[in-house]
Amino acid sequence: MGLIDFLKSNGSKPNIEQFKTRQTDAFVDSILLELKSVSAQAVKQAIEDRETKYMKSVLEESYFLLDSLVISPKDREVAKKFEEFLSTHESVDTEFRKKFFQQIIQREYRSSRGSSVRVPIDFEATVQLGTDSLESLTSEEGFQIALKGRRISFEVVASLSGPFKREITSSRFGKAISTPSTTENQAFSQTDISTRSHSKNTRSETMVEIQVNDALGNRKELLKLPALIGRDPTPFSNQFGLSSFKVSSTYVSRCQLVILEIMGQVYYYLPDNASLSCMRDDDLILEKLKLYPLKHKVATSLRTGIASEITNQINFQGSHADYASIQLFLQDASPENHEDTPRPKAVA
Amino acid sequence: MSLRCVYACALNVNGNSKKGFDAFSANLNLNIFTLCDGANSCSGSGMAAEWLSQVMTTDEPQHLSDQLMARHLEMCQKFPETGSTLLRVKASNQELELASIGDSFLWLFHKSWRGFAPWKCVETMPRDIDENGHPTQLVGSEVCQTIHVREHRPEGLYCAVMMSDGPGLKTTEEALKKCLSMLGRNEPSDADLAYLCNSLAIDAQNSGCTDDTSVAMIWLKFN
Repeated sequence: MGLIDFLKSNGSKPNIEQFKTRQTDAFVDSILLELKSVSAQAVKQAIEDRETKYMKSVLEESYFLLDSLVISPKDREVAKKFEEFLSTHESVDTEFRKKFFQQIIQREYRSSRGSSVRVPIDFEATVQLGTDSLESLTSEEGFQIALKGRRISFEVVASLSGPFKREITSSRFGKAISTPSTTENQAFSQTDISTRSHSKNTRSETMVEIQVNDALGNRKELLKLPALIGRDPTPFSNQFGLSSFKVSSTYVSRCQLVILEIMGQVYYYLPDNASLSCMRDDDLILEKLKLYPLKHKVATSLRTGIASEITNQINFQGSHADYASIQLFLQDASPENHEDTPRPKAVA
Repeated sequence: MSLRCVYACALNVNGNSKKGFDAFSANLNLNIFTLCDGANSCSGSGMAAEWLSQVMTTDEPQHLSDQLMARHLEMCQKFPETGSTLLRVKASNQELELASIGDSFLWLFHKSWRGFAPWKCVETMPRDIDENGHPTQLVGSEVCQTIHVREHRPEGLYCAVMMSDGPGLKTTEEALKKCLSMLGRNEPSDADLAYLCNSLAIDAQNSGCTDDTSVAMIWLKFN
């Protein structure tokens, strides 16, 4: 090799290293678009099968929910590669399967008739091997594919539930409503959807019975939650839409106690602006912004007028006009506690 | 005269398997529909309501009040500790007959002007309740004296809405009209009515109904 040839050969070699696409990545690239398309087609088919039963007016104010999406590889080769791909990645990231299928599934699908299909946030498609998934391509099929370019490698079947009433946006109507269904006689599936817990929570209206002994004597009232108790709770309760109870005693904060329900459990706590604390009947002094659960059907007694820094037991020297006593008793209208319909009896 | 009839029911929509005091039955040959709500303070009321709803969908030659009294006595024998409300809709070419006993709700809506007018409530059946809202009479109980019956002319479009007392107390006539406004002049499918029944039931529960929740709708077209 001469000097010129040597320089030529060195100059023509670019200083870039070319990475080869790995086999699995190439496989995923090839199937991703196909899976998206076949899944959308399956959902479209499911929605078209269902929507014919309903009036347009019903479809316009409701939505269907994607219940399941079953993906079946159509031959042995694809099944093997797909399973290998999923298991390889799952060994590194346990959440991989979920993440992968989230790329395939759209958040919402629509039909030309106005129906919409929503996909639950935690939805996960299922890969299911069928009898086709175990069969290899015949030479004839291979020949046809060679002529046509490629064939669809997956079969996808979608199933829906609903229709469910669409939520009314809270900004416009002030209240959000969701309507999951449970009855089977209406061809609705019994899918447990996230909206159910919301509807269940809004169903029960929890009431707290408050009994106060203060300068005005002994009084009892039922308060709807959330509620604020204190010497002058009205400005805050009006501002934040709480029900209120006024306590008339010397040593009580303007906003002494907040009672509220979180995830079905009722709590009470001292708000940040409470200058005084309360002592519970078990001598516990309440701390600011700490949630204390209110037990069902168990009365909780509190005495007002405790300085926040006191941690040891104290004896109350004054009367209820100075240190009010507050008793909280939880009542709720849950299904287990509602009053049953009695059987009418003849009046003598 | 021809009569078209579509119906649906959302029964015991409360997701609690222990509940199930309401029962609905339909006899499509005779166009008779019943919704019964068993007294949930008594065990076996669900079965009693089921039995009553079924036997009251049969047509008997005797007058309805006589038929009911016979069934009441039979129910006292079969289910001595229970009681049940009864709502009944019977459609024929001669008349549209509504009947009720107890504290359940039954409304009848009519869409006049060949269906071009909006739905209008033409009947709200009386409820037998005391000052506490408890039923004063139930079929199969110690007190079962008067069945309320209303008759309407068989013409045009009607929709009867039946509810057990729980959802009925949380539902307004306006809400029902709004719901029915989705039904135009065309015949709805049973799936449409099922959707509306279920929506009303869920709306009632969202409004605080914790009782047994059942809603039934019967759409009728007399030509």
